Amino acid sequence: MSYSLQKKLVIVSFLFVPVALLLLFLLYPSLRLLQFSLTNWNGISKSFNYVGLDNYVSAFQNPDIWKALSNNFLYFGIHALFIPLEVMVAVLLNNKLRTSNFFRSIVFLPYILNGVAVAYLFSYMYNPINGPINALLETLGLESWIQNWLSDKGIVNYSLIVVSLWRFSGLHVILFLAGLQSIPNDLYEAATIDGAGSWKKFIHITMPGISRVMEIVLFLNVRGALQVFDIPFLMTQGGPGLASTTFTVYTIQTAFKYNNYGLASSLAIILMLMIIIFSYFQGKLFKGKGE
Amino acid sequence: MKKNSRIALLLTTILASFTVLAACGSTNNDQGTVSPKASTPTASQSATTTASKDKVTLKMAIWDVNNDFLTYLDEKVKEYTTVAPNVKVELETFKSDGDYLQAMKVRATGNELPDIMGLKPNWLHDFQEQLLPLDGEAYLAKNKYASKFAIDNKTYAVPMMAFPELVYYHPSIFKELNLQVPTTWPQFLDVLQKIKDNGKYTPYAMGGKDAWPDYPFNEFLPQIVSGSESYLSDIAQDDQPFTEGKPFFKAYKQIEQLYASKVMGRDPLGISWDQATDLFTSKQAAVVAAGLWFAPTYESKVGNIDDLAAFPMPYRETDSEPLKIMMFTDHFYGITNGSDHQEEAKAFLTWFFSPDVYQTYIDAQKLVSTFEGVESNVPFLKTFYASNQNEIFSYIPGDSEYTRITNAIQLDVKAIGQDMMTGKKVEDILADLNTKWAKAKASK
Repeated sequence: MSYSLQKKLVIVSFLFVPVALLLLFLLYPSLRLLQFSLTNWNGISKSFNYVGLDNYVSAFQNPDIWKALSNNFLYFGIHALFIPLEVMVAVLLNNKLRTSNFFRSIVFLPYILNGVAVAYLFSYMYNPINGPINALLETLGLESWIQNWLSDKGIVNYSLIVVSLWRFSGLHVILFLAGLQSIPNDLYEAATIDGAGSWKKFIHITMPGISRVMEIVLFLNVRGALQVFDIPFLMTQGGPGLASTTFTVYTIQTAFKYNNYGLASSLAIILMLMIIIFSYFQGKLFKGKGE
Repeated sequence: MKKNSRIALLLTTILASFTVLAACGSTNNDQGTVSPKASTPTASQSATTTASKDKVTLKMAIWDVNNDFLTYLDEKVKEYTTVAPNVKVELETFKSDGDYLQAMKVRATGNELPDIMGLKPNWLHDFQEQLLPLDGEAYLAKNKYASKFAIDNKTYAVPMMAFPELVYYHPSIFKELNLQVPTTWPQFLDVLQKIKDNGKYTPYAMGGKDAWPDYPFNEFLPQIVSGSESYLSDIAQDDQPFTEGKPFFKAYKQIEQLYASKVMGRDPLGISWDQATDLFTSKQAAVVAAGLWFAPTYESKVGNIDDLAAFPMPYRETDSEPLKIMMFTDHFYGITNGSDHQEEAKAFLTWFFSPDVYQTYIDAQKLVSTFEGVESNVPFLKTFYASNQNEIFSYIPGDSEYTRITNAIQLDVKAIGQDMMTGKKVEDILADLNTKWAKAKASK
């Protein structure tokens, strides 16, 4: 056996397992998903018919799906608004405060907690009977601020977004912090010698320094906002009515509650495409500015 | 070098593809079929019937919220070995019907359903393809409800229990406030209003956050108001079933009156069923509607049923109409047609439905018997029937066309109930539903 053949054999055999796993657990299910999205399969029956692009057409024509999607964008928008605040917190924590290590752990803690536990925790907080939030407002004499946090259609989404912010902002702060710490100190020292103030340093050194992290955070935000599922599903089941339904909650219910796997598969494909498209444009936009 | 690595990658991909395709080969053979594994009885089945002494394990699955019942059932099916020594029955249990349904759907696609499976009446159409017709079995003649759920004149599953839908109340509160048990809808609203005016108790305990606790109204009222047990299947033939003047509209206007009278506490959509029942069991709320299944829950929480009574849902407008009582049948058992041991499964069901075994089943459930000649021993029910001899109105789920349309428009009457509690107008909801319904019905 020649040396090059041996080499090839080694490469092939080493690559075989990961490639097989990738095909089996990623490519094959994705192709099946694509196949189901072109059918009217109900998820139980032994047979199904191909219906062409009907599922995609009905998905775009369905006002409930657009309503669900608009809820996703609310998550996206409010999370995006909080990014500057997260950067500020990261900058604060990056300073050599005496307790900064303690605060770093505290900030990250909500992200470590189990999503289901977080949902139940906040369900309790928002509870109209003996709920701590309402009790606190009462103690402070702010009875008029008491709301039906999870049952008022105009408020429920904001109540849920607060939970999402509480849970994920910490992760963003830690990512920004990692970005900040990777900026070499001599850049700041040189800037100080050149007479730059802290705002100039922030704009010209810190911001470009964390641009990679910013890109990651923005991608996580798009992906997270479009896929948000556990918080509304566990806390309100998308209710009252369809008020807090998100795209993924709608997809799950289409598949498992209404036995329409064909439509649900097409929604899953649409979601995948949306994430790819949004991330692409966001990346383009950011690259244009950052580099 | 670059070329070499490309060749290596290509070879690996091809090799891996072959492996994957071989692994998934069974599903790739024929287009348009989820799994081609034969679902009809195969040679192995006839082999098992001829060699009947072979060891056979029957798999059976059911859900129930009641742990004690599941423990009872697990013990009971083990007794079957004394009747048929070669057969062992393995029971798999689920705590919630939702989890159970999801698991069964996944298994149905992989031809992995248990030999004997439990079903709710509204799942029968979905699983019809997977079930064996039981016609000709002797126990069918004795079951009071099975024939009502036949599909195309074939009976696929047998209901093991039934329960009336009731409105529970605390007699002590009614006595304290000098209230009479209502028998018409206006009286019902009046009673709740009086409790509200008194201010001491929440009139009605609604766990609206969970959506489903509004089912006695939003799901059952149109059906019982229509007076026809086949109502759901009937509306599948109607292009505009939600128009003014039709039963659905009439019932929903009644429900709107109830919700608009604000007799369900400050935030009925903010509290769950558990919280609502806590309000009721702790006597902070006066009335709650639920099936007979709620009585054992109440008893286990309170310790007794001294201050618990019930009346039939007073859906009628005047006393001149008869007041029927909604009866829900549940725990249907059927044999799956992919089972390799259909004969053993049939023999098991014959034993399972025999009076001696069934008596223990229905007593463990504390619900109403579905078999003639067997009566359940439920003191609460006996007291109820002593003063309420109403005609029975069976809940019959819609046919396949009804299921198709409701799935297509994603009709969830309980979520509509939540919308109504937020103040959305019935006229707006139903006009929108009519449009969606007609469109889905036309697009067959």
